[in-house]
Amino acid sequence: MTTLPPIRGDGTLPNRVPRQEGVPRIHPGGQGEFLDKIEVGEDLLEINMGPQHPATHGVLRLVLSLDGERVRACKPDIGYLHTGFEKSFESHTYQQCIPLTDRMDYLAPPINNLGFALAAEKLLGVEVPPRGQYIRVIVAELSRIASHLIWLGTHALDLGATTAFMYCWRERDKVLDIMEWISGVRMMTSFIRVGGLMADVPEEFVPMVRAFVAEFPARVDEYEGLLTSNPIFRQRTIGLGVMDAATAISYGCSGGTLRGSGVPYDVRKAAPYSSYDQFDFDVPVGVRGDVYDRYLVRVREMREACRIVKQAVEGLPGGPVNTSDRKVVLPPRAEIDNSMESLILHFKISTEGFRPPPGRVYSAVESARGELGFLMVSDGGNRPYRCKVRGPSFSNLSALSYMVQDEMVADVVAVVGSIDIILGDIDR
Amino acid sequence: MPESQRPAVIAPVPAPVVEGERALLVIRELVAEEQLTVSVEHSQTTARIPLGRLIEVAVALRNDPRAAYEMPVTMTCIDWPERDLRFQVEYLLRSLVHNDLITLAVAASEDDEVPSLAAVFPGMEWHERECFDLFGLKIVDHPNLTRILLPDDWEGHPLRKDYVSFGEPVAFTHNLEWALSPQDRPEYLPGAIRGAVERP
Repeated sequence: MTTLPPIRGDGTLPNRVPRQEGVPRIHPGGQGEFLDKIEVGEDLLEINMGPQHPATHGVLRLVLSLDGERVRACKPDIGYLHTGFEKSFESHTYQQCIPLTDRMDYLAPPINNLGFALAAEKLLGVEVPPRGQYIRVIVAELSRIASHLIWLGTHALDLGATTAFMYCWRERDKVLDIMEWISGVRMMTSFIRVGGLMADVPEEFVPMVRAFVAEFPARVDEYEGLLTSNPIFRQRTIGLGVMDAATAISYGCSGGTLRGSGVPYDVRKAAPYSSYDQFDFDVPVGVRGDVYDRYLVRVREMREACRIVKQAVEGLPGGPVNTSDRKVVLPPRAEIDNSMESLILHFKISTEGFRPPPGRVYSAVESARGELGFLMVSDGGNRPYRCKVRGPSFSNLSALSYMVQDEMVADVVAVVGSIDIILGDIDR
Repeated sequence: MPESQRPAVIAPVPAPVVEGERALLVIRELVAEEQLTVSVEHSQTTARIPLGRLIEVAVALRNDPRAAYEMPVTMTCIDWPERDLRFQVEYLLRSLVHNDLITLAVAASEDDEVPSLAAVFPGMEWHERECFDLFGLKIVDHPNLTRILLPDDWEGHPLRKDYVSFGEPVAFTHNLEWALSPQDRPEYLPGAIRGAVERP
């Protein structure tokens, strides 16, 4: 893999108060000390942040133990958005599960569809033709851009920079226009299905995507102009929420949170799926592992995603988008008029679905937040026997207590914003 | 961070054809062959080990440079109610250095005490709480074993196969089978245990 040189940055800025000496860092779990065992003396104050706090990006509750304005311990409380998707999967056919996956990471639904579809396709042993794979890549990367734009806008908004929010929303709307054009829905597209796609893309798709990728790099320059060298933004983010590489790995972090700490792990490079090995892109990594590095990594990721989309749309092959396995995908509409077998197959697939052979598979994709894994077990029935979703935000959030230890309480919003959590992905 | 201290880059190493074989070298040194069950599905290796050896094997897999499985990917549970030991508990560990993935599996019953791996991998702590919450897995030596997703006063463990979550079982004259217990309920009804009763 070609790895970029580490992102620039001097790492030193005035006004950053160093962590207090002599106070042991508390690792919740693992290192023997935990919140319940901390002596809450008269100088420690427990306060509640969330679940209705606007900077918690959903419904996250943080119980903070404060010593003056300094956070001595932080205990995230999740589950407010628990929907029981994993239980629902067990009573729906594989194709019916696709709309459920949309609702988990609701800022980048096509990547969830893709993760589920790839796991089911591995169980079935079917392969999607190149055109289908390329369109999947385009849709997934566009939704990664849209997701990062929301993250960037809200992260900047949390830190008081309202302008970036408006700019990011503008470009995100263009991505949603493309989604609407190909699937009829702006957000919960369910466009990627097991065995291929909902439908081939309309002919306007390629010009729309071309226009977007031609314009987008200049837009990223605009955002960077607003934030990257902004002294207020830099003072609030550099040196804050530092996490070293070994800690990030031990917590199972992935995505921008892990790469911000300098570990160039990206599922698209480590185990390429859906033709990602045919595209030339770089994996940006940070140096210091602070909030600012995670910001730089994600902004750079938007540029790389744009590069991938550009290559995919220029090299878009012809041919079918769905697998040729007639037990999995519906027969073409025209065939149903003439062929009794097609009509029967259409009826069988629509009502009963397909039955993958018994087996177990773990399949991961790189979502906008990190490694999104689906552990799927089939018992030969038409519904998954068990489908465990490894949400990337879940592991990333578990490292939050480490990152905000001994930081100021006002900086907690910056750290929470920098790990880019989606509560639908955490609570599932 | 100075350049010399940066962690090893995974990417030049292509993923192995069969994932997890590297781990078996280490596991075979610790666990006798007759206690070890290895299965390979879709090029992914699952090593099932005795419950008592879990921590020992996990520590070795993390520390041994031949393996270096230092990233906890996830932990989960698969409920097979018809088996003697109904829970198949799976730990997925990733080696970034070797670009490899291994699944450690242990079988446990409802009453078996599963040791916590939170001291080995801090990231496993929340996953273990999730298994405790949704499956009722008995985990011991955990730093903070409370329900993580559901409210503390929730009754039952939803991801168990015998936990009915869909459809109020109301029986009318035309569907008396809805009043049956999950074990006797036909397979096509919500909440039924699969394979319990054949569809008429």
